[in-house]
Amino acid sequence: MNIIGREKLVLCAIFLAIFITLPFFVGGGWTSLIIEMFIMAIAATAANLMTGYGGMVSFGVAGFYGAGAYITALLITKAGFPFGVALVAGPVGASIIALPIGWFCVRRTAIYFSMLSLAFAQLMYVIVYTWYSFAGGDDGIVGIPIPAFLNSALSYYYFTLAIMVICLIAMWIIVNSPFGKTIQALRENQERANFIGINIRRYQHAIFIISSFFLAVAGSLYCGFNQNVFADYMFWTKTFDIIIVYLLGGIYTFIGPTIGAIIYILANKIIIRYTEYWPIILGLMIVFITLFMPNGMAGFIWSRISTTKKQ
Amino acid sequence: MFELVFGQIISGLSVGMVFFLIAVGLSMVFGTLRVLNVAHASFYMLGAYLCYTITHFLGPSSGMFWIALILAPIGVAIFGGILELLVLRPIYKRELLYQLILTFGLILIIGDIVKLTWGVQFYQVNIPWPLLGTVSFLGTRLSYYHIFMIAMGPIILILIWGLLHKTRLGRVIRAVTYNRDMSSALGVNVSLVYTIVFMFASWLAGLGGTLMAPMASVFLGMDTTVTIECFIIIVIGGFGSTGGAFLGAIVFGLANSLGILVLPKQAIAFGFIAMAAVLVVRPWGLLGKPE
Amino acid sequence: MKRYFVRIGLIVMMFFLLTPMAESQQKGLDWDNPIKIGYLNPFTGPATLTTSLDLPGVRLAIEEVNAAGGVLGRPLVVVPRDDKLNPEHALREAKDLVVNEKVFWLHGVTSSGVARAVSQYAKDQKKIYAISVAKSEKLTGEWGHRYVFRSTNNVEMENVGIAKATKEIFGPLKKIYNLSPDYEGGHAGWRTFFDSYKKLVPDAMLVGEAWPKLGTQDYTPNLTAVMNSGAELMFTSFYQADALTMIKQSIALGLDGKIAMTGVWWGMYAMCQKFNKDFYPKKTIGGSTYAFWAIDTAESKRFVENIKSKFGVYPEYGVNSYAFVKAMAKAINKVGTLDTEKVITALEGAIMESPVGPVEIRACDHQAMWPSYVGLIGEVPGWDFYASKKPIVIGREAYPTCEEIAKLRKK
Repeated sequence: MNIIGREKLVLCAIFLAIFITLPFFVGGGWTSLIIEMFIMAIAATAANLMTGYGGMVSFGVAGFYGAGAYITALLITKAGFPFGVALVAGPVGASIIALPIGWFCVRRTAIYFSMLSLAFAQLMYVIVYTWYSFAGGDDGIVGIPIPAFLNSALSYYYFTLAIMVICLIAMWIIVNSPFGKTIQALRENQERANFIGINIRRYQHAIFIISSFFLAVAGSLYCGFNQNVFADYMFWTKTFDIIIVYLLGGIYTFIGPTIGAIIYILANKIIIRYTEYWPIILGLMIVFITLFMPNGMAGFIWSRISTTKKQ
Repeated sequence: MFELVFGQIISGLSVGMVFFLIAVGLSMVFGTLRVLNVAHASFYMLGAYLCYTITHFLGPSSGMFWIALILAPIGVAIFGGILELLVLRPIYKRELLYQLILTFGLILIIGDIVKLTWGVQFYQVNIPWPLLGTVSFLGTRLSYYHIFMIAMGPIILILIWGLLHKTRLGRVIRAVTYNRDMSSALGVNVSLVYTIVFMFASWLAGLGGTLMAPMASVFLGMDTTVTIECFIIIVIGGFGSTGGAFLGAIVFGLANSLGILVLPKQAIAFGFIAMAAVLVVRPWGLLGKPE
Repeated sequence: MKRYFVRIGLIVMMFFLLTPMAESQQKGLDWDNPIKIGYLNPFTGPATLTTSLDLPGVRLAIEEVNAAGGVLGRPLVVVPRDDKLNPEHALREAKDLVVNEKVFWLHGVTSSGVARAVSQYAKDQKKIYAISVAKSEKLTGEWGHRYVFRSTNNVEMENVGIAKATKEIFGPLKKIYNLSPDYEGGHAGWRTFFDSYKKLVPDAMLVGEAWPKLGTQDYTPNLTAVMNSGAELMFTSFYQADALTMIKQSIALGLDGKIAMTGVWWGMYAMCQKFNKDFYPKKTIGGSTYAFWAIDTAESKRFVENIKSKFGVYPEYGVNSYAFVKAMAKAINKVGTLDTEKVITALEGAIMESPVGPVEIRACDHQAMWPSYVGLIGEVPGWDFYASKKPIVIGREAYPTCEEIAKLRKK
């Protein structure tokens, strides 16, 4: 297998085994928590396709995440679609929305790209928020039915785990393909890429859409998990949640965002039991990690491992 | 009909002026320090809370407001200076993403500091004497305080312009904004300039909060009610442009208040539509410079 | 060197903030095995006053219950969480409370939108959920179900009284402008008011409306629109910080006193404590769930005294939770086990002893038959605040009948 090193493959297998057996060792509360980690891992890895691999920082990732959730929710509650169809339609629909939005966004660079992606995401939020009769506005849509076989935390756990594995494999293949290598080259040096005759915009547009697709998968899964959807799923604070996660984990490794997801959600749940002042603790963690661990936790651990290895 | 539109224009302008005060600081920090400080609105909130504390220091008395107007922004500026020294200095050379996340962390920290200091209660500041009351104008009523708020905008604009163009410090700031390395090579203490600009921006945001306090309520989370709006304004006006922030704030305030007449529910969308439109057509904003 | 200090400083700060808070403990109860109440309400945002007035009611009830032997020999304990006035956060906390903290029942919530989400969750989880502040009538009406209870009154019955008071005090005003928040609570407020008002003033009409978000800081564009719309009456269901901002701005604009105003929850002490002779809305009617300044019973006075001396605030929202928590304790003790289904049956039709007298928890919809108090806002003689003076009392006849509820739920 030339697409993944033997060591990494073994590590993946170990973790997979751990996740498969974990529910039998921990209680129902933890199962719920880990499902949230899986979903966040998909979202953060997807968002990182643009940031870490593509060099484009999008502030509008929540828009597509929420779009996936809303499309799924609306198809189930308003159009009576079965869950499976709605779950697929979410990402597909979000990708369609990403087509025009991405086209506009990639024509701008750096902070202008970030701001434009934010503007579009907020517009999506406003549309959903003000369409009270159709989309529930501030109250959202609650009580979305999911199929009986998914109705327990345990079964949803394995469902989400399976989808996460598929998504991560898919994204891994994409970033390691010639297409993925080109995207990374674009991040490094756009001028040179241009000289080779690569249509930069087309590639960036493509990664934008792919990223949005997987973001929406996460959103749809979250909708099924909570059986509800709220306008807040699209709000810029959700974007920052996702960005914090991939930064915590490290944007220059593939597995970084996943590690970030585990740390972030774990810290959130544990600390909130002891104090209501979770924001300041999270804030301090963020400041700490930004100042002292610029490559995120994954990068930090990796560099520690590499230095010990070299010795 | 005219009174209706005129009334909307007045209220749009007055809120626009408060937004200008917050946005211009954000714009200056971005233009000079090249840092997008998303926690800037937290200074606004801090200013409002300090205004409350100062006005109620010797018992609720509306005369104290004028003292608060002087002291509260200074307090915020000092806080901003400390923050800049401790936390922001290390990240000037970093990429945009890290600055964003670090300053987002600051939103959380400052928010909880406010909660720890003032609790979860919300507070009221009274409109100060002699600005109580209204005057009749062109068929509609204007409150004196609104007029005061609207007047503050151009006053501060002139103040900033004067500072940047008529003083030596201003010349130095403009030099550092234009070319950091060259200024440093010429002997300018760039770090000091950065701190001064940041403190000034915090002062402005604190002033905005102090001015808004008598008009609204002081509560936790009031920073998030203005954060995104400020982004919209500096995008429309142009990053780094003071005049742009002024223009953007006016455009935003009016789009909002007039939008309520046309499409009351969707009025919040207008800001984002304007933001997207500017970014697509003329990304450096109305008065900004293409980089 | 500086880096080192910063690092140490941050770590120290983090440890300091992680210290859990201790609670004082009653002797003789099984403190290792408390029965937990999962309490949800906003601790941040524009509506935190409900929490600061409601939670003391819960705590006082817990104190009294524990002093009287607890519940099944175990102490009651409250686990408060911030719902941030937001359904997503509320649900996350609710899930943690039910699954991890293993609370016996969920209690609280101010926003009707949030309450709806939590109610749905409680139904799925088959856990009792007692709404303590949220007012939309639909929560115990068409969205009601076996597991949801409401320990306070609802906006539909409040508006019966408010519409009546509006007509009596201001006369049959016809042109109304509606300025309400865009979420379920706001919509519930307006529709129930207009329904009741139209029955009294059939040719009342809406001359304009606007639906700003909760937490809006600037109402002046809306208020100027009201001024120029020719309205005789402005109706609003904004509350607390938002309402205070609105009143401030309305006074600044000279709107205050010129047209009549009806604020559904403006008579509530939570807001009124901020009024004084220089700052209060004139020509305004407000409703309250517990106008303790106008209630003369010994029981009520004692309750007010207790809360004031122990928590430093006057009760208002707290009275409903107080009565309900005590009723719950009684029901669980009567049933003898922590069986949700049996406790629900015991609660249906139960009479709560409360500072306003006996209040029934109606069996058909689990709505407590709390009264409501409505009056013109002004100086209240004998007390140091402004509120609805000489309020009229509306009782259980204002609630929809069981048949009407059954019909709504069948849809």
